[in-house]
Amino acid sequence: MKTYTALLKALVLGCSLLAGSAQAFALFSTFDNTLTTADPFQLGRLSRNGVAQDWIGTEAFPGVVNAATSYRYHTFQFNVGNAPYVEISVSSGSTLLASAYQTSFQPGVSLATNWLGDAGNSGQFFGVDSLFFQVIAIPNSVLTLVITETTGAAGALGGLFTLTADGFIDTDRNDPLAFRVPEPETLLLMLAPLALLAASRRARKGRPATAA
Amino acid sequence: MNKRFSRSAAAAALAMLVSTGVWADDLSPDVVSQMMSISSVKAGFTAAQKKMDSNLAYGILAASNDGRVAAFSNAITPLATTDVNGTPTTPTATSDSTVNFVAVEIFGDVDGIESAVNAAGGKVTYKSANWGAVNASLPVASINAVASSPSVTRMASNPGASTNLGSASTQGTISHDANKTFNLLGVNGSGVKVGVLSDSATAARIATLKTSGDLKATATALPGQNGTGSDEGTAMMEIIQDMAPGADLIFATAFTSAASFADNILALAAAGCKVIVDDISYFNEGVFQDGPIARAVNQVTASGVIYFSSAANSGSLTRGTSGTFEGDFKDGGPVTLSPPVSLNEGGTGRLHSFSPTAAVQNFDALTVSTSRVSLKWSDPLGASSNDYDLYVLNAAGTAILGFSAAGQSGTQDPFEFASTNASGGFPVGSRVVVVLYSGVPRALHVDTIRGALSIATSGSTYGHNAAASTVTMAATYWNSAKTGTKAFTGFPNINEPFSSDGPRKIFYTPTGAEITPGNVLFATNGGTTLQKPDFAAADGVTTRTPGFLPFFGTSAAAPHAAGIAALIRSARPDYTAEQVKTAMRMTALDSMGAGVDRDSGYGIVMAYAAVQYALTH
Repeated sequence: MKTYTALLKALVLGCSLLAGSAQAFALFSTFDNTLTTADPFQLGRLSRNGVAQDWIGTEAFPGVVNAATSYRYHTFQFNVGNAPYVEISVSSGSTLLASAYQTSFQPGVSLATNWLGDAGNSGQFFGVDSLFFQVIAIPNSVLTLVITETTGAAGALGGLFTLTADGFIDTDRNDPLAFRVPEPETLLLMLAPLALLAASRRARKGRPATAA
Repeated sequence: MNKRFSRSAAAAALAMLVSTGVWADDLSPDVVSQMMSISSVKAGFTAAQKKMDSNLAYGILAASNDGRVAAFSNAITPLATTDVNGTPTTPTATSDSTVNFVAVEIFGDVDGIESAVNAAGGKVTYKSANWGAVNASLPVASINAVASSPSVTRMASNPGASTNLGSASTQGTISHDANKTFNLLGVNGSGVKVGVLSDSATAARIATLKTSGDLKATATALPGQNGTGSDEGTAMMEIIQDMAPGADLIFATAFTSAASFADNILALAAAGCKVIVDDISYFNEGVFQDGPIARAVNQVTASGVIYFSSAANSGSLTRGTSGTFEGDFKDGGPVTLSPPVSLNEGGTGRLHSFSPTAAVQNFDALTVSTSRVSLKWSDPLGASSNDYDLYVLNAAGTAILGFSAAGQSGTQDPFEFASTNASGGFPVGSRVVVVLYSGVPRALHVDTIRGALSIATSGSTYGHNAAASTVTMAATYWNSAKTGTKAFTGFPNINEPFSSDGPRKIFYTPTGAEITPGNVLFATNGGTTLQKPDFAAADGVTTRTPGFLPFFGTSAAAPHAAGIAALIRSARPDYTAEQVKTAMRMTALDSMGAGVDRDSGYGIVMAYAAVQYALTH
């Protein structure tokens, strides 16, 4: 009985692992990227108001500063699928500001058009920790991330930045069920107890009957 | 005749040196003169003044315009006066007893102390028979009289405490794989009570978080122990609740006083908490011996509680941010001028040389400013008989910016604390100077409390935060690998630059016995060395508590670990605290130095792996 209990425990663990691992759904990432001379300019930029957007909508549109100054920017677009609660991290020097827009970024119309949120600041916490902010997109829609230079004039080129975006189905950071995949180790754990059970049953069958 | 001539010659030589501005020592003549004045005043302390800490003893003299302190009054931090209820006031003449009260902590016979306080027109704000401590508001004019009471062993101005907050919901559920634990294993901390101690968790904030669903309906505080402050306690509670959604949380303030903190640790254990966590450091806690708070931790852990605390945010040698100096007193010469011309033939003590080589350097310069510097040494708590003093000079060494020069004559703590109210604190370049006023060499611990030093060592974490019975937590940013909201992987997840390092040397047992009799120095490997911190966990996370968006610091790391412990205890209610810790240790992700190290201990605690280990062992 003891052996079966242990095996059953292993089987339960294996099955639960087979159900999948609750990890973030990685929507987008770019590492050590830079703005280049190929990137376009926008007039004016978002004000760095020190407030990072979050899923409860803490940040109101921060306003536009230096409306006559040209700033380089680059956009990244991806579909959020059924993970509309998006958490965006940005690591960069002190001159780049990250923001997010629903579907498209239209600087020629207004920096407020489609704005969902931004990091509130440039740089990094304590000089080393990436900034982050959170936005809620429309499910199965395109989210546009914008990296904007903040020094103006010719724009600072070559400053490295790393940008990541992870999606969840809710504010508890649960990931979309469709994207839960078994970990490779899970299959081994699943099969191991079954194999042991089979071996145990074979052993019992092979054991000679004892006299009463 | 000859004696008069030698004194005249000495005075003339001093005058010449001062006029030319040339001196060969690290201290200018003006500074030496001030230090000698301070020592002269100390030498004349009454029995009552000898019971006081430096801030009280010299602060009272300054408040009463005593002529003896005129030469260095600019370096005395004014007493923080209040009314009888503790509301801050602007100090006036000491005869105005309606506004000139000071908050003090008094040790000795608590009933006798209470009588003395009441007789002096003061007000007792907290009394702990457990720890022989009374907190009170006393009229400035009556402090000497109360200190004279035979019931009083010693008296100190409230030392202050800090939370271990950096500034800033928690991504930790992903970073530590906690989501997997309750989503896949069905383990969520249910059945486990977790006690939380911090500055405050106001009833209003707890109610708001319950309404928003960030705290369970059972979240509460011990009666009358919500505290007042920034609600950092609720931010910690949020983290624990996120990590262990089924756990029941109870809060108690740790900010009333050290004695109250210790009592609340006991009270939370009595209320059924099997996991307790705090994020508080008291500046006057013992470094080389367990004080009252650590002894309270010892009591509850002996009864089965697993206790977590933040390591503190005072930097590390590895990250180049250390504001700590630890080492044995090294004689750097007398407190005189060079060439030796002493204004006080008795001398004022011996300077400590901070230099790690044979060269002499009688100061340690600040490389990051701070408003507080503490000095502790390896004498037993409440029984220090070696008298050390602490000075902070300007960068040129020509003026004293702050000092602490209480007397230690056998009943005091080995503790000096220099602070300043100046804007910007003690600036970069300020010189920290340690003097052995009388006695023998001891192991020293200088702490610039979130400053940094040019000559620095490891060993930042101290007090109950680093006690043997405490699980000490370092901090690593949830996105330290810069890969987004993902689980930690280990070596890519380095500690925060401010996370305090270990190890922690202890020379005395909690009762004050030398662990290695006759050997209380680093150089001779006295005492015992504790591996600290124990683990690392996430900080920089999201909470719903205003002011903690995000929540940085080892204050945020400790509740993540407490939440993981709650998950383990929920999965294995039969587990002892040591078994819980083993599960964490066996599954921690190695980070910082390979193997166990002074920065992250055994590494980053991981919920899912730890619970799996517990379920199979």
